Amino acid sequence: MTTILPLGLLDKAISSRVWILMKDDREFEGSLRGFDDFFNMVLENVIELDNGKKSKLESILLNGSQICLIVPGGEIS
Amino acid sequence: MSHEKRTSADFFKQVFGRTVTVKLHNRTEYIGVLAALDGNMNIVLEQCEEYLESKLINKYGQILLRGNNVLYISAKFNQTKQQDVEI
Repeated sequence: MTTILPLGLLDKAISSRVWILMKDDREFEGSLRGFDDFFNMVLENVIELDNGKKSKLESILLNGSQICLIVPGGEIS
Repeated sequence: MSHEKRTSADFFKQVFGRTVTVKLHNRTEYIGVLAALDGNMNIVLEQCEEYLESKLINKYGQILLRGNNVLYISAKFNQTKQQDVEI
């Protein structure tokens, strides 16, 4: 029986695309470069979806405090 | 290089002295030279411009942003590298 830890799952997603939903109506999609215990994340080639408006960002450090949901391998639909 | 793991601590080290965009939860954006940054994401920016919905609102010489308001810090590493080469 193997246990899956939340941060272990996130560790497996490193260097792949992740889809992140925030507590408010914002969404992010990007290549996960790294993260820490607070779910702060370093993302590259990011698409930000804010109020239906898409914008592209090269490299960001996303504050983990407002993150609601993370989908490894997911894309903004 | 581009597939190395890069933690938030590494990001902190790399962004010092670079021009960054800081976006807050209230959708305000601050573009300026990053002078200081800590683990709470408290940020000191210099030569800072304040934007709301892509419109320039104000300019400041130096500001301190409290970390709890920060949504993300965005940097363009490739662009700054080119500038480094020129110097």
